[in-house]
Amino acid sequence: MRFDEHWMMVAATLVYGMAVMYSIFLWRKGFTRDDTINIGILVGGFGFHTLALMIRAAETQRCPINNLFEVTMFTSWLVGFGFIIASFWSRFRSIAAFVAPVIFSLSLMTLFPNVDGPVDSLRLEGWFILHVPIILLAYGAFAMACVSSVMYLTHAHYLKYNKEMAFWVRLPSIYRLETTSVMLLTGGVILLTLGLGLGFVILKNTSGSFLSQDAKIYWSIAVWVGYFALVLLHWIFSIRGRFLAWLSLALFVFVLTTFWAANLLSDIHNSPAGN
Amino acid sequence: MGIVAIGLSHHTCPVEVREKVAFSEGRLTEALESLSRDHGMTESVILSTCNRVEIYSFADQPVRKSHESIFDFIRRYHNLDPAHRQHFFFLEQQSTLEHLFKVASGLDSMVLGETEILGQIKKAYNHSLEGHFSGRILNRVFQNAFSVAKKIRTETSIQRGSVSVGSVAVDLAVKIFDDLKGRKVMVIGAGDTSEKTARALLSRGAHSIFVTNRSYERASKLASELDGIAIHFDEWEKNSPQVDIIVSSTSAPHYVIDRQRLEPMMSKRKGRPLLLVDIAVPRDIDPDCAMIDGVFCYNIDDLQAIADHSMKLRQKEVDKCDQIVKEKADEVLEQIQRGQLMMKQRQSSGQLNANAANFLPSSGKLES
Repeated sequence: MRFDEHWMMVAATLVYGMAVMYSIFLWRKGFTRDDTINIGILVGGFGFHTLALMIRAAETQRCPINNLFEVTMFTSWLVGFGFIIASFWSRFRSIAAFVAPVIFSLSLMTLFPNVDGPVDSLRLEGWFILHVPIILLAYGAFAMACVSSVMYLTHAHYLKYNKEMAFWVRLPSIYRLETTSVMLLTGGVILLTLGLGLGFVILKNTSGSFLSQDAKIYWSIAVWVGYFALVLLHWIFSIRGRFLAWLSLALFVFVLTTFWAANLLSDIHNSPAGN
Repeated sequence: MGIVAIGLSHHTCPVEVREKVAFSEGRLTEALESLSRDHGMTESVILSTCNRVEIYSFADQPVRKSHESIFDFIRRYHNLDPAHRQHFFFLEQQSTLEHLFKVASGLDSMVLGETEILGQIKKAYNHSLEGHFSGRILNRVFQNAFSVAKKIRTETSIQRGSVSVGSVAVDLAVKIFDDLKGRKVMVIGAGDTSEKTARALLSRGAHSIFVTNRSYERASKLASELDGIAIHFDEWEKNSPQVDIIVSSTSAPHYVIDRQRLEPMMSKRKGRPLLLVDIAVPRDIDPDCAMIDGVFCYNIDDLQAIADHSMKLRQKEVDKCDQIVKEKADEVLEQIQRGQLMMKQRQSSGQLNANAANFLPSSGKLES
């Protein structure tokens, strides 16, 4: 039996699953100390995850972002990478308990059947090379914004309703969490706008039209409208605090739960394999 | 011969006695000179703070004699009645070291684990060092006291949390705003606790303070002390949209801030969070205010519960700290005693060499 990237992803998902279980324990106990154990478990999972990505890249001799398996693997790796960077700051170490469920959910999707289909050679040239990674970076930013928003809601809940615990909780200040969320959401919208813009150019070049009757395209536009409206609400109408955090969380849950279905329903993103 | 300490503190006497025995900073050198010149102390450090007056000395004489000499010095210097002796503690060798290490670590302080005392000890020691009143023995003792304080700070939780209402309020503000730099504070009611809380917020970088009180005169007085702005009591609401923290401590029998009043204020703040600190009894702030998004409200009981919990956590650490203090005191005393023994040996061998040298010329003369 050969330990290929799929086996590595199974190992990574199992380790991430352990991190989720430990996170539940931390959530129940409160975040009163640095959860180094959880960070260690996640870093272990990230090691397997990176290996899976490297094996795939070595085998295909390209950046592995060209079908649903690769895209999901790469997006969750980006979230993991963001977590590693954030955990360098002591105030952000508790992020492990919040990021674990997101990475676990994404990694679990890579294990679904029939996600690793053949890659259309068209996707390996021209604007495609930029279209996919830019959109992936945008979703990575939205995922981290979601994590930051959940941290905000948790900390704000402690500060309002569990005041004694709030004093001992080691979470970043709610001001910093909100600022981080806004930065990630704004950055994500800019990247998604660029990525989708490139997508329309690609569509025009390949089919002669900027738009196509495709589930994934409509879904992407819906996601863009949602996030764009959220950013607009913040910058123009000063929507902040819990409302902003709940909207960010709701939008990302929508992305997470519908991404896979949108890909499967798409003709152009799922033929012969989707992204 | 040995290290001794004589002193009194908030544990042994009331402030009426402490203030009589305090040494003013300007006359410290004179006092140290007197200890050295008139009372035979080889090395001395005088620690004089609002909570304690302690003299640490080393002299080449029996400890009992050192105790009497130092007490005699204090009695003469401050013109004290001999009856005041009952307020003093007299320590020698190991107990002196243990006491100093505890004081430096904040274990003997009124507020367990506080750090201000360490700075005061460093200042007292530097004064003696610069005047050459501290030498080989006390240098070693005080340097070790600083390292014990550091070890206790890093290896135990004796300084964890906040133990006063003001510092708890500041820590909670940091959890909301991250950095207090540039944050605006409003103090409603010019009471003592609100003043302390406002000072604690200012010390952490809060930008400007508005003070309001039913008596405008009192508001102006406190505002000038805090370098803030006094505003009339009926105008505080106009200024409130620009502030981030409101500290309220009026003696009003009803709520000063309620939900109906706060909601329009919050809509003008464009979603910026607001911290309400209510240290008044009866309460000034309607607890319903906390239901508004972005409003974080703490009353005196919330703050006191956190402070009490911190104190309990600190008290749990005392045994661990005592162990560190005892081990280090043993080690330092052993080093000092070994050093003194070696010095005596050197001195006696030096004496022998000197005798021999004295003898040689004469023997040389004899030879010639």
